[in-house]
Amino acid sequence: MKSPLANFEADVIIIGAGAGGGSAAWRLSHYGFKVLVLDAGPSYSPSDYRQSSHTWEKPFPYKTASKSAYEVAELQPIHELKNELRSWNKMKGLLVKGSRRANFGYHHVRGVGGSSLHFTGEAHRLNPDSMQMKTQHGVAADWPMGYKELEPYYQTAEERVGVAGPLSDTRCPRSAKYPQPPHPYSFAAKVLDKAAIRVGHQPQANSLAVLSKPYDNRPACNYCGGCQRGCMLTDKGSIDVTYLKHALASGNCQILPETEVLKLETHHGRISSILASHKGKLHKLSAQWIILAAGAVQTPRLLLNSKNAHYPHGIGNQNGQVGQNFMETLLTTVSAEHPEKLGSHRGLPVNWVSWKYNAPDSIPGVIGGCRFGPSMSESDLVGPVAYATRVIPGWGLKHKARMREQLGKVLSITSIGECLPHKKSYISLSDQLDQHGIPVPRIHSYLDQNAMARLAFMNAECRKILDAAGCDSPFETFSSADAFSSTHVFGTCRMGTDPRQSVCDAFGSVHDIKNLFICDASLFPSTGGGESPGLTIQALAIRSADYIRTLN
Amino acid sequence: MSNKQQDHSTHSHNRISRRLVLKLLALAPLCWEQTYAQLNNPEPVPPGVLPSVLDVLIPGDSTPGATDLKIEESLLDTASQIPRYPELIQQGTQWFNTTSLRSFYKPFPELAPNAQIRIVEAAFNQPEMTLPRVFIERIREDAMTLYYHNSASWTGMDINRPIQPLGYPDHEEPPGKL
Ligand SMILES: Cc1cc2nc3c(=O)[nH]c(=O)nc-3n(C[C@H](O)[C@H](O)[C@H](O)COP(=O)(O)OP(=O)(O)OC[C@H]3O[C@@H](n4cnc5c(N)ncnc54)[C@H](O)[C@@H]3O)c2cc1C
Ligand code: SF4
Repeated sequence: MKSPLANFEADVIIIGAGAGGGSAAWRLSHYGFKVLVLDAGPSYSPSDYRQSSHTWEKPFPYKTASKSAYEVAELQPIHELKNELRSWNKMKGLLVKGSRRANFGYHHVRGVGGSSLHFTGEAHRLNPDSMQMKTQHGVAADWPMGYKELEPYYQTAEERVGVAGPLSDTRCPRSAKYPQPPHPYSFAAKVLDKAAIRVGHQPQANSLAVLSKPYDNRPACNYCGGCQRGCMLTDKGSIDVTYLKHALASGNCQILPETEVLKLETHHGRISSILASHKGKLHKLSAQWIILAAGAVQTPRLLLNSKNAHYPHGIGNQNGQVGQNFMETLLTTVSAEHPEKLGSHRGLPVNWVSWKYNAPDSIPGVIGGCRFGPSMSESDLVGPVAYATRVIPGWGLKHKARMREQLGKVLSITSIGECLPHKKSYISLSDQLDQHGIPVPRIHSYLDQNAMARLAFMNAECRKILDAAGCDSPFETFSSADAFSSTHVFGTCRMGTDPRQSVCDAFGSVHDIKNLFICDASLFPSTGGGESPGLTIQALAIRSADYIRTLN
Repeated sequence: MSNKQQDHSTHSHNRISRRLVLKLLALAPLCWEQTYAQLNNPEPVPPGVLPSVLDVLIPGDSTPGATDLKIEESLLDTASQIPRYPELIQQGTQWFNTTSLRSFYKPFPELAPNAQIRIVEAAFNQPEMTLPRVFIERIREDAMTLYYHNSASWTGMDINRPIQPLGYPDHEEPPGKL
């Protein structure tokens, strides 16, 4: 059926132009499929970013419709939490004032490119040891494929994006070297690198979707450090300037921004049509294949909201698995001032990474790994506004003088760790309705003792590195222990071999719906030990696209 | 029970980076205990109080002070979009002026710099959640933000231009070569 919105008859409709949707669109359009990509958010262009303006320190420039509505259910009490696990700042005291974990947000962008528009650009493969958590450690679930099967797709994704990585990387076996040489470390990252080595870490150059050399008509990075504010230069491998650019160039793809899918309709075990809202009008669209890539919060929401007489609990939810197993970012960041000027506001956000504790059994006494890296830019401690409001207390002439002395002295270390599924962490539908009268997702998050123990280890290790770097005692800690604050979300439509325990098969095909695929982080059976998920989402989506091609 | 309200306030107002909460006071619902009875019947506040307080917080030296960069106007503009903020400013400045009249028999803008500094110090030293403390901490946060968003404030720092279009080609070196 020719769509009233697109100027061609689509073979595939993709819902969501983020990491999963964008990479599937690229692969399928290059195979000759006619692909229509719908995204609820707006398009962005480099001129939307403020990095060259005086107000460059302002956050990512959200536009109307570039945030989705959601709700966070009441979080767990924190009265038993030890002080060293709390989030605090020396100027502001405890950052969570109440007696429960606080909601600091599910951070995302709705837009063509999805959350990659403000991501940091880390491009990690998943540790192969993290893919068999059930068999090896009795927790979470196994991935229904091994690392070996995913490896060629990782390689394809790295080449499409232009990932710069270390010359030798033994953590995950590779069939070819990284397409781009590694980035040099900033001066401050070198100081932290030496400190990490002193306390027993083995840091290596981080693999980044950031160009170290010109590539694919995009320039090399100039180390402004503003990745999370959107990259003006386009050297950061966000989905719009990599996959979607090439999908459009194929002539087989059309992207419709500000088009929100409200409901999936079924007929005889297939998605027969989708209901989308575009510029205030409702449209019914259909295609042979539907790919749902709305991210791990909105994908289950759409499936649950699409319940009908045949699927009374929601599409794909005959076993009550849609929305379960929600996993979030488990993180701790510690920041401190160094006695010397290091110019620490300069350079890439996460130059190096220490994978020493990344394997699931590497933290003593706790299952699930983690990783460490510098994070001045990710912590947003790279400009005068941040220094004036978070680092340097006081006011008056002395404060101004201290501002001049101290800028560039802050060092931060972040650790991200494995988040295991818990029955109290899931996505459900809220009573709150969006502007279309449809329930918004409600996020339930819970961290158990195992997660708290992992966080305690991560926190202590971050402090050790800063201490070894010669920093003063920390002025700020941020921790998931008392704050829900998630940039990586996973697991809510888990893939697996047993339909009673999963929503999709190993290719993202929804078990009971013949033409519906899921291509986003909802699929992850486990999170890995702190790896950033974007590259794995892309590899999985490219693999699903190849599978769809075989079905056709 | 859900924490919708809290979600809304932190989500839409706080400036949050990828992995860190930043502006902790920023735009959280404003509340304070009204410890000064006269504030329930607000009197007009002389116009110069807010700029004078801002200039004590951010005085001019080799770089401009708060009023040189018209921080008062931007602050009032910001405040007009936040529930109860204009009221906080009205009552906060009134506290400053009343304290000034009581202690030094002069309106705040007419005080000598040292006397102004003493009143600002006193405001910071009040107990948490009292009007002067909430007012002074909040306007410190917002005034510093507005001030350091202005490149005229960057002179003498290791950052003297926006991060693009030049980036930091010297990022591998010790600072000081910009
Ligand atoms: C600040 C930040 C930094 C990050 N840094 C990194 C990093 O360095 N490396 C990394 O790998 N990951 C990083 N991440 C995480 C990464 O960005 C996400 O994991 C990834 O983008 C998720 O991809 P996705 O395809 O699952 O979903 P998304 O990127 O969220 O894309 C989903 C898309 O679907 C659209 N959509 C949703 N609902 C509908 C609907 N009903 N109809 C139509 N469209 C819809 C949305 O508008 C959105 O564009 C970061 C995230 C944030 C927020
Ligand atoms: S550091 Fe590089 S990738 Fe990041 S925004 Fe700046 S130029 Fe772009």
